[in-house]
Amino acid sequence: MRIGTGLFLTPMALAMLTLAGSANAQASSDSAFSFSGFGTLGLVQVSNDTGKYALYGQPRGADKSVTGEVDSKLGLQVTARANAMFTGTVQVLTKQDGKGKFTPGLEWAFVKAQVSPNLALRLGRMGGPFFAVSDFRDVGFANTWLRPPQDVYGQVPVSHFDGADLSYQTTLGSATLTAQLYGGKSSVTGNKVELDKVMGINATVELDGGLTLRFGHVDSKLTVNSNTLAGIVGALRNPALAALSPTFAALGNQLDATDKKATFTGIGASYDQGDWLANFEYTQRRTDSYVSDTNGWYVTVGHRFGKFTPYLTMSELKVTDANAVNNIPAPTPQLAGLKAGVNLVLGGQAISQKTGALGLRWDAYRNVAFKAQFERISPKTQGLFLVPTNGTMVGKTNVYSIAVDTVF
Amino acid sequence: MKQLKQIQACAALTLLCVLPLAQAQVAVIVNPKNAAATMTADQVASIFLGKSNTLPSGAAAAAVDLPESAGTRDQFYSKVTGKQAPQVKAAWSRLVFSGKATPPKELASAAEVKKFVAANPDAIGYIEKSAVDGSVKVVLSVD
Repeated sequence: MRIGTGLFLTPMALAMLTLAGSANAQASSDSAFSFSGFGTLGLVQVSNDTGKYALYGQPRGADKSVTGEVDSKLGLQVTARANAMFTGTVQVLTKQDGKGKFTPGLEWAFVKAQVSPNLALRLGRMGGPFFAVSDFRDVGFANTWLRPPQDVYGQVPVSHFDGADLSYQTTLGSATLTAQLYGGKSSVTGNKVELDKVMGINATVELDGGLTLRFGHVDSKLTVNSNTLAGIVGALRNPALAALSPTFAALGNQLDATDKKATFTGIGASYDQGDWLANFEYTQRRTDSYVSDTNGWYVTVGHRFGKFTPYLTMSELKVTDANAVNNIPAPTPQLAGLKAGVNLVLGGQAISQKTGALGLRWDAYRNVAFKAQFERISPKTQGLFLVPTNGTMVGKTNVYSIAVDTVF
Repeated sequence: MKQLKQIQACAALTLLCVLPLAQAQVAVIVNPKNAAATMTADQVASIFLGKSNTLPSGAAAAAVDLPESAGTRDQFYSKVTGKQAPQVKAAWSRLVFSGKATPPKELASAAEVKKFVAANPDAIGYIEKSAVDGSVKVVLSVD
C-alpha cells in the first residue's frame, strides 16, 4: 500500500487546522467579512488494476494502491458584506484538476444583489446548478455520502459558469418555491471542454414533512478541443473520401464537437425527516456530437442511529445513444486505421455502468464527520474508469473509500 | 410540575440521580416592539435553519445563536427544529457553501443574546426561560 500524496496532505491538514482555529476567533466578531471553509481527506483503493477509479475529468485515479488524490480537497470561502443589499463571495477550491495537479482554482467569484427578501441577482462566476447537489457537492460534511453518486454526477464535467443568475423564492401555502434562471459560459482547463450559450433553469419546492422536489434543465453549445478528435473529424471530412462515399463526411459531422447542442435535464427528490433520509435523482444528458447520450439515476436511503448514519445507494449510468455509428468501409489499411481511430473515440463514450454502494457516516464532532464507503461497480465495458485504451473491459470492481470531512 | 417531580425523585434516589440539565425550558425571544404575540415552532425553525429570513411582520430577521458549547442551544435545535447539532451544521453548510445564506450570529452568553434582542427590533434569539426579563418578549416556549 502506497500513499502517494504525503507531500500534499501535510500542508493541507495544517492549513485546515490553522483555519479551523482562526475561524473560532472570528465567529463572534462583527466584521463585514465572513470566512468559511471545508475540507476532505479521503483515501480510495480499488480491487483490480485494469481501470483506475477517478472522478470525471481527473487524469489520475486509484488502483490497487491507495491514493488520496481522488477525494481530498480544501475549499476556502470569504463573503464580504457591503451593505444590506450587496455581498461579494469568493471561493477557492483545491482538488485534483483536469491536469492532475492540486492547483488552487477560482471556483466562485460573484457579487450578489439581494433586491428584495424574495429576489436575488448574481453576477460573476458561480456554481452551475446542474444537479440537486451542485454548489456543495464538494462539501463532504454537507452530504450523507462519501461523494455524490458518479453514475449521475459523472455526466457533466463542469461545476461552475461565468455569467448571471436570478433567483426568486416564495411561499405557496406551506411550501417554499425557489426558481433560478441562469445564463453564461463555462470551461474546464485540462480536458478542454467548453460550454457556451449556457441557459438554464433550476426549480425546487420544499414541502411539509421534509420532502423537497427539484427540476432542472440546461441548454448549451458544447466544444471539445481535442487534437485526436480534430484529426479524425478532419480526415473523415477529407474531400478525397467524399468522392468515395458520403458516409465519411456524415460520420465526421456526427462526431464533431464544435459548438454542438448539448442539454442536461434532471428531476430529483429528497426526504429528510427524523431519523430517515432518502435522495433520488434521474438525469438525461443529450448532445449532437461524439459525446454519448446518457441517462443516470440513483436512489439513496439512510437511517440515523444517533451519531451513526448507515446508507445504501443504488445507481446506474446508461448510454442511450452513441450519437454515431462507425459504418465506414475499411478495404484499405488507411481506412482500417481511420475506422480504428473512430472506434477509439466512440469506445471512450461507452460509459454504461451500475453501482451498489454501502456506506457509513459517523458524526464524530460538531463539524467533523468520518465516512467509509464500499462500492461494487459493474461496468458494461470500461464504465467511468480510466483505462489505458478506450474499449478495455474493466469487469466488476470493488471500490473502498474512507474520508474525514470538516467545515469551518 | 414535571421538574418538581424529578427533583423529588432525585432527592429520593440521591447518588443515583443526575438532574438532566437539558430539561430547563427554552424561550424563543423577540424584541418587545415585535408585533407577533406568538410564533409556531415551524416559523422559528425556518429562520434558524435558513429556510426563511423573514419574521411574521415581513421584516428581515436578525437571528442570534448561543455558542455551540451551550446545552440550551442543543435543546433549542432538537426541540424546535427536530435536528441534532451535526444535522444543523450540515444544513447550514449547504446554505453557506451555496452562497445562499449566512448562519445566525453567535453571541457568547444568554445575557448577550438578551441584550442584542432588547436592542434590535427585528432580532430573534433563544435563552433559558429562567433568564427572561421584561426587556424581551417570549413568542414560544419549549420544554
